[in-house]
Amino acid sequence: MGPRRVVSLVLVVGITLLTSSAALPDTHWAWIAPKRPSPPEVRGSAWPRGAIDRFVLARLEHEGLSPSPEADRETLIRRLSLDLTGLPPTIEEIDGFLADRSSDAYRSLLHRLFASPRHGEHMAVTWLDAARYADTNGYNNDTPRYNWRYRDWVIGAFQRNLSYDRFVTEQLAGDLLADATLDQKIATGFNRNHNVTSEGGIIDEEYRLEYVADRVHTASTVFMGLTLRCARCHDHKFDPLSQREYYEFFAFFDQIPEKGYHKEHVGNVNPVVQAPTPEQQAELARLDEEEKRLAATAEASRESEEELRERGKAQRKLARRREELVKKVPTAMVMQDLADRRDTFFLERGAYDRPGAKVAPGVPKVLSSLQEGDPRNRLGVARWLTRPSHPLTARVCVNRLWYRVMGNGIVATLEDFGTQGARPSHPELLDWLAVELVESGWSLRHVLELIVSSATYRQSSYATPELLRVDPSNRLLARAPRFRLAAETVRDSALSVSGLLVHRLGGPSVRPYQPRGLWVEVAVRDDSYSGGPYVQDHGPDLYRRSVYTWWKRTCPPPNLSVFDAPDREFCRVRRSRTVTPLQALVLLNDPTFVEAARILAERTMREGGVDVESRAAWVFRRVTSRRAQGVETRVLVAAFRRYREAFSRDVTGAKRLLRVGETKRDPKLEATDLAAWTAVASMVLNLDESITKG
Amino acid sequence: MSDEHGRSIETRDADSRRGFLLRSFNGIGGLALGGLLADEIAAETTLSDPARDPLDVRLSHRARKAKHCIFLFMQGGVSQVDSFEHKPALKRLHGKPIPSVPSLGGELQGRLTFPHVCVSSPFEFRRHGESGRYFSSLFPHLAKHADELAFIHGVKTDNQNHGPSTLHVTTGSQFPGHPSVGSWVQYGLGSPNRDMPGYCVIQDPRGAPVNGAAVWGNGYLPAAYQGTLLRARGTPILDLDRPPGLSRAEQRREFDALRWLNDLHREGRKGSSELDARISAYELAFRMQSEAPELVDISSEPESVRRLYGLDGSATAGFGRQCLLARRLVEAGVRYTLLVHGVQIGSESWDDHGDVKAGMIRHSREVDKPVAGLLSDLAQRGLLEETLVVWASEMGRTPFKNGGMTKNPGRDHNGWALCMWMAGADVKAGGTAGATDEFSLRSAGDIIHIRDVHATILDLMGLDDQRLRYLHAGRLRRLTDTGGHVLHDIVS
Repeated sequence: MGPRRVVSLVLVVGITLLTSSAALPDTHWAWIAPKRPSPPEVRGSAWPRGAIDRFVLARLEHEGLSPSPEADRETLIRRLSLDLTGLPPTIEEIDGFLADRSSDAYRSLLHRLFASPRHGEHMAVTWLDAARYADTNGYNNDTPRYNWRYRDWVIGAFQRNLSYDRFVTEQLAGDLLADATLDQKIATGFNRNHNVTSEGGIIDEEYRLEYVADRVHTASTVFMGLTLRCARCHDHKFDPLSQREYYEFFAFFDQIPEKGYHKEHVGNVNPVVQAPTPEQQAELARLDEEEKRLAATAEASRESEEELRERGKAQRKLARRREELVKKVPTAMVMQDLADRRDTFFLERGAYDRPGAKVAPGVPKVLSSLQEGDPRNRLGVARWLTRPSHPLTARVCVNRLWYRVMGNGIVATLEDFGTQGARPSHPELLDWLAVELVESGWSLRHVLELIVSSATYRQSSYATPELLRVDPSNRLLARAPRFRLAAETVRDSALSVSGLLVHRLGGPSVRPYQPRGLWVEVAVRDDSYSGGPYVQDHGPDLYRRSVYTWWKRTCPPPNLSVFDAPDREFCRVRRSRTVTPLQALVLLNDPTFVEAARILAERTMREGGVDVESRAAWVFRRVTSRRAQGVETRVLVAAFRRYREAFSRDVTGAKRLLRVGETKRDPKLEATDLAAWTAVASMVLNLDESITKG
Repeated sequence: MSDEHGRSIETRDADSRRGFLLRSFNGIGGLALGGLLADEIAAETTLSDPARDPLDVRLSHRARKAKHCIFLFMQGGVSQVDSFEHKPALKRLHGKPIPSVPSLGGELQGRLTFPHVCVSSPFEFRRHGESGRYFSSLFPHLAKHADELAFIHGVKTDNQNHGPSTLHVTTGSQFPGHPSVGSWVQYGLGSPNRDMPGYCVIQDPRGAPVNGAAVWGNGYLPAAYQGTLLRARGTPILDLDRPPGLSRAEQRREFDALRWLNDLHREGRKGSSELDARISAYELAFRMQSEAPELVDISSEPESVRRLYGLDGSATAGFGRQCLLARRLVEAGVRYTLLVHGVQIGSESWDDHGDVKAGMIRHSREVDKPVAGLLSDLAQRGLLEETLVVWASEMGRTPFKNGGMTKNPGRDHNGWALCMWMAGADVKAGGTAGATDEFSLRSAGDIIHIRDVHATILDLMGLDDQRLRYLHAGRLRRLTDTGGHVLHDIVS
């Protein structure tokens, strides 16, 4: 045996030992319930504001690093506004914060942002990715559905800070709660957001099982960070999850009265409930009252002929109003369980046509078991998940909160906490936050507030070359993260700084500008079969927040998908953050952004003072939330002068530019000036800084 | 730290167990086993590193001539027994049931109408070229290239509905959410062209294939790898046009000032790769604004070339333009081009459930001359040597009739007998892989699965399907899932 072979042998033995000890599945950290660790002692005792900072600092000190200084206040208010509402602050808000020297200025800013209705809308977006919410049925025909009551439920839940245990329970099993309210039933749309096919000739059972598998995949990913779906065809290769356990968990989601093939291919798919909005409910109640009152008058007194006629007329009018109203009442796709349980089978190799043994509903054993009193249905799953002893629910939840603000998860693989996932960068911090979540009564807002109040969060995002070399991806957090805004935030910010953004909560999805012909290009046969061509809205609906934009799975809104918004075919808990030339083309040329620049230019001329310098400074500050340096203002001023010169030679060109978008231009403003400011505003909207949180 | 291909291997997994193993082995010192592991995680880690331009050209796993791939996808299910598979047995049995039908279970159930009455091809088959390969009379132009092509017979996909099988052929999975072949190739090799997207798609001017953009989607790979749809009508790339009233010179000024301001902002943020990437993305966007319209403007092509592709014929003009554009994209250095012929399901796709004769005449006429023109043109320009051309559909069709036995019978879906061909680069000209039974109902001998074809395509592009992986949802994912076998019979 030569030396090479000896080395190989040693290596092989080494590997075997390493892998076998590391893979001892039951001792994997994520299978063991978190206990609250004490925050470690640190040398730099002046820096930490709370427990989070002590965990972070301890690690930094261990690596011989120190935290960055606190960011300036302009940066902080921009960062907080973007993180909590998805919109940049106004100049007045910035000035107000800068002027507030009281010790709780930061806290009151936080609370103002949490209370804003914009907060719920912003928080909802990531959950809608996870819940694969969309406005079409997916697959081949991808026809419309109208399940927006679920989307509004999610926004409302974040807005009223619904505790996470309720959030989980109502979505998983709202229909099974005692005296379930309409809202709780709407919440169960979570399990119905998957694709549904209406393609003739498919095998019904194959697709029905696909929907069930999608629910298993979604629930195990978003609640537990578990790659349970790997166990569909065979035992999980790395985690202690057997194929049998997969089908036991599958059994909970296999009880809904549904088919694989849906002949009636447009609209919401059964089972559905009538889901009047709160306004409609109030109106229906008013109609009930009126009808009752009329009936009562009839009983109370003898009516004359004329009174009788009048009453009849009034009643018919009420009936018509009711009919009109009922026609407008939306439905919501909901969960239901069959009265007679459907038998669930172990499927050999995951194949729909190879059923093996019958299985009873159950949960993966490695994570703790169901308790005596837990019903063997989805409600039991919800109770199991929200029990403080569940090792994953709280950890996965706080990790997602951390990710949305810090850019990385403490566990970088948000979708996989198993043995193949990334190890936590700060395991004790993760557990501390998880326990904190549970003990705060599962308050998401409480944990988010702790995170954004920390000294860690408040650091500057500047990275020294040394820090970039040691920690390029900022796992150690010796600086604040710096990353591109999410697709929705990019668009909403542009609408917001221009003043175009229309703040209206909820309602049916809207169709803003989109290049012509895209839906027709992806339509089956004639386009009516796939729900018709894209009919763009007009007026206020062009300027609603992007969370309300119509989401067609086979053709998601192009100016959002170019910024990595997913197609919502499947659950996604993490988006990529790409930088592509197509993004530049959208920001420069898409009518949404050109119109925003145009209206921002009008505001610049009206609100930015009278001279060119002050206007340039104003538009820069409005968009980036900071004051321009002298040299930056000078670049903008020079650009403005050149543009004005060019447009004064080409007034027709100027006027054409001012016709982009449907908002009428302010005729009082001179066309060449306005066109030149439009070009400058577009430039500012295109700055890296304008679409970045730093 | 870098692997044998020079790819850097910092990060995403530096904290995971695999990363730990890797570091330990490198600590021991450049041993083969460590090298293998390094290689294993290389692809998955480099690409998650925002500091790297995802489209940087990367070295391939093995030396291959192909620099480009043109994937011709025929939507609907091309009838192999009316095009490239000569089955005399069907002539004998025309109008009679197939004597011994293999047991039709599972995938075929519910699909095939009884009785299985054979329909012989209404078209004449003749041998062509030195290889003596059979072509039906529908492909006179392509037949002239008989000796350049290598055929694959009896390819199996796991589902025989259009939606799932189209995805299976184009992404390796019958369900949405998986990266398309072109995305994998981009991920593995990067893009040599910096004026255009490296993965372009031109669909039938009449509309989209089933599943729309999922056919060229990036799935779980980063978005930089998705196909960019060059639209058949109007502007080729969305939002490519400047806003009305803004001249090119003025927009150039905007780019310059932007660059200036972004550069200024970069001072003190040296090393912020995303900022660097944004600055270069704007430059590419600007170049695309001038390059792309020119690239798709075929008016400069001489008459002889236009005729070669059939642009002068009403039936051939549509796909002819797509093929000509594909050649122009190859010339411009675009890595992967997907052309789709046919629209969803219906008379404009190859889905001939009724009257396969009329259907096949119509479809083949639309593509025969353009495809042959593409092969000739590429060869004349010396580009065929570095371009892999692949012909595919989502499935084959049955040798027996579909529906009633009228004068003009159709054929049903057959997920067991897709017939494909490849040409160019390192394809073994005249080679054949696989065979079907005497009726072309199923493969005779070993089944060739679509993942074997995918492994072969990757191999011909210089990539190893076993090593081209991406860590997603806890698993190292591959185009070929459980792995494919390269079809050595058609690789030289």
